[in-house]
Amino acid sequence: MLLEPAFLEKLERLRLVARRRTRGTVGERRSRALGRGLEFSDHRAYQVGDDWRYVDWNIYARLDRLFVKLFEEEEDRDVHLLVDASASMRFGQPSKLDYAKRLAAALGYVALANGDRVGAAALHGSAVRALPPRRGRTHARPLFRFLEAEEAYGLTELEEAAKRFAPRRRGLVVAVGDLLDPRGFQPFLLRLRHAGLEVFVVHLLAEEDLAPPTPGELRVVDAETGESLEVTVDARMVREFVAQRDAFLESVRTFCARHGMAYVRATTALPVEELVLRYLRRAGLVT
Amino acid sequence: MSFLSPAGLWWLAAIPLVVLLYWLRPRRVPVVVPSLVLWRRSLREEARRRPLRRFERNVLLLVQVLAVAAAALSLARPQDSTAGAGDVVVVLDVGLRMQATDVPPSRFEAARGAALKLLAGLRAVRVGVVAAARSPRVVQPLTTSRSDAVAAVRGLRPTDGASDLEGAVAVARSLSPSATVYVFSDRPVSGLHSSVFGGALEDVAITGVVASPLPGDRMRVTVTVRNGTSLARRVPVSVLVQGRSAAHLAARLAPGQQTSVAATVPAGLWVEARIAPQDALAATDRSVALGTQLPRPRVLMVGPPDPFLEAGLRAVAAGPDRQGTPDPRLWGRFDVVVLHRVQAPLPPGNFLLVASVPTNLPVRAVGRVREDVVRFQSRTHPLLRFVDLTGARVVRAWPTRPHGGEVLAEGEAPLLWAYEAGGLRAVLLPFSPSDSDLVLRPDFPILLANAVDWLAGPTSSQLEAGTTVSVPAGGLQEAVLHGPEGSVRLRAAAGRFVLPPFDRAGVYLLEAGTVRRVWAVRPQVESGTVASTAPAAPRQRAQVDWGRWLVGLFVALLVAEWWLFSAQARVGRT
Repeated sequence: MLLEPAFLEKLERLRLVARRRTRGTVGERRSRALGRGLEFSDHRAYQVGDDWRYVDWNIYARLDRLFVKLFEEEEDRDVHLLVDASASMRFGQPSKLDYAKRLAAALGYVALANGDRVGAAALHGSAVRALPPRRGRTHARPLFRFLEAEEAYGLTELEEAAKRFAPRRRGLVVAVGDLLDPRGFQPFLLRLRHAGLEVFVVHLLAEEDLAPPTPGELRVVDAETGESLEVTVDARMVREFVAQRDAFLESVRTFCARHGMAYVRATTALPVEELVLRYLRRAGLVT
Repeated sequence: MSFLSPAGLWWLAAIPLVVLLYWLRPRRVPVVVPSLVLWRRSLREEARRRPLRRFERNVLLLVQVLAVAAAALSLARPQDSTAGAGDVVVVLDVGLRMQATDVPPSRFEAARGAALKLLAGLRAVRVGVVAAARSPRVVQPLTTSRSDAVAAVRGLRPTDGASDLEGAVAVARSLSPSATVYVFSDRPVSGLHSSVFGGALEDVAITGVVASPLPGDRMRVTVTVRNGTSLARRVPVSVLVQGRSAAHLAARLAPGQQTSVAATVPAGLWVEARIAPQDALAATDRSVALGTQLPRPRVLMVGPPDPFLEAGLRAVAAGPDRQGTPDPRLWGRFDVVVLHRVQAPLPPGNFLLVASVPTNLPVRAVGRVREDVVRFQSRTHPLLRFVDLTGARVVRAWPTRPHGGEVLAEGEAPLLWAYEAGGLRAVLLPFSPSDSDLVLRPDFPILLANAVDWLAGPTSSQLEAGTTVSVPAGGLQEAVLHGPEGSVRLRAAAGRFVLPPFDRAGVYLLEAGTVRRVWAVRPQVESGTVASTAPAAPRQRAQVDWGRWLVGLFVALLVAEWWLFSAQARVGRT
């Protein structure tokens, strides 16, 4: 069981917040777009092509001018949960992948509870295992099963994965991963952004990713590729590694800020409940 | 650069082994990480900032390789190869102090044993042996024959003379400037391989014996004794005249004190003083001196008599014997032959030529006799020591023209001429003494004495042990030298008898025909025998012992490796 019942109860009271308007199908979510909903919103002057059925004839009787009635259109929204499931996500206690799966399940449950269509995708290098978006609370179980079944393997090829992840509709995408791609994380996020998706980045790191290396004569082996480097770690090397780590984290944060992406960094030491209920709420993803 | 033990270089083969072990040993701890992204960036930046870092990783290997190389080279015993690399010269002190028995069996025997031991274990290409006597001697030039060198060392004996250690080292250097010099002595020589046998020496010694003539065929003998010990001594002194006991004395001496005792004894040729053994150095317990009855040079006068000449010769020599008709066969029996107005070719010998111009010397009589005055004279030649001939007038002088030799005094023509070559010594006065006012001057007998001394050499003298002497042979071909260690037969060479060094104190008597010469040789007692003093460092460059430096480098590299290893371990722990 990915999420405890008590946590699910808390999630019932949350809802995902989109920061910009999307073009979903008509659904339970009241959109800011004016259209064919039931709740009256405003009037505007008739224009050629407007539907005659929305002409307010009472106003025409009093003012002898044509106005049409505007209604708030109700729509549903696609929420895409992208989970990096490469081999590097195996690290951490709990592992980054387990943490990401729980987080994705929580956010998916919130979205489904609010009537959004929720899909999920696990990125194993260039291979993508996807669960198509579905609406309704009944979709929570398949979503949880899909996430539970995922295991960490494959390379980190975020850009290739983004190419294969092609949502048919715009929506909100929550990308959860460590972003440790040798080719860089930027192309991946830009592709999502250019696909018209609202991107929310949860930068998930394990304590091992952040801790300075142990000094000594090391043969550092890449968990994904098996490549190794022979490194003599002394005090200067430790300082250099810490500097590079901090520069990397800062580069992710500034990149997201520059391109209008919401960004939250978390470590696996932080409980998922606290992350969702406190930090994601503070970041504006959930209310 | 060359190596005394080239086989040690085989140890250099251990270097590849060290490198192999270095690369084979499991030295890096494998660490699996999520990604190498940050590692690559860190390494790239490190490489940019510290381009030599890759070599730092191998600095331990480098230090180990250098340490092995230093050890191998030191085992190969490298030597400076500027010239004659590998040469070894053994300098053995044969001075009087080496006879001391404070180091059993004696300092010399111990030093010689050590030298022989060194030669037995030596791998040098060439070996030479120098004896550090009063005058340093090369007893074995550089040779590749080890047995010759060993025989040379075995043949050495301590002398009663001093030792010139610095001179001996200089002689050793002259054999091969880059040779390794090993000194075996009772004094250290800094900058060289010195083996020291014995140290400070306490010695009661006879430092002087003097005989003074007294009327009535007697003489007064004064013996000086020094107490070089730290205790007051009563020292019995015996005086012997020509080997016969003549007097017994006693000297009371405080520590460090020197005093003299005297006795009147019968006159003799030589006198010896002895003291009872008091210490470990017996060689200084006896000494000799010439007595008052000394042999005088024997002179033969050939030609018409001249009273002034005969009177002068009587004052400075025995005789003179007379020979009216020249008979060269007998001339060789005399120390000096005086030819007066005799024109004859000269055989080898010593000749005072008075108004005689022989035909076989590089001098000719030219023109007629005439009057002359001495205007110039030599101031340095021993013939004219304490003699001033300037202004001496000659009424009948033979004008001569020399083609060699040395003109010692002259006016219009040479008036005193000396010549030496091929076993022949000659002094030419081209006038009769009675034809000049020279006989009226006090310089005349002095000139004759100088001439006899220069021609025949001194017939007696006191020397210190270790002195080397040669005497003119005159017309003689053979002589016998009687000394404290027996008799030696000598042959004249180039007109001289070259005597072996007087290494042993005592009386030496040379007999050749009727000619007799005597030398009293005393031991050369050094002043301040109590404390052994180290000589000043020789000016020669000390032998560079690369092996020692390499051992030092090896140790330093080991320390450096330990420090580096500890430093790296320290970084690993922090």
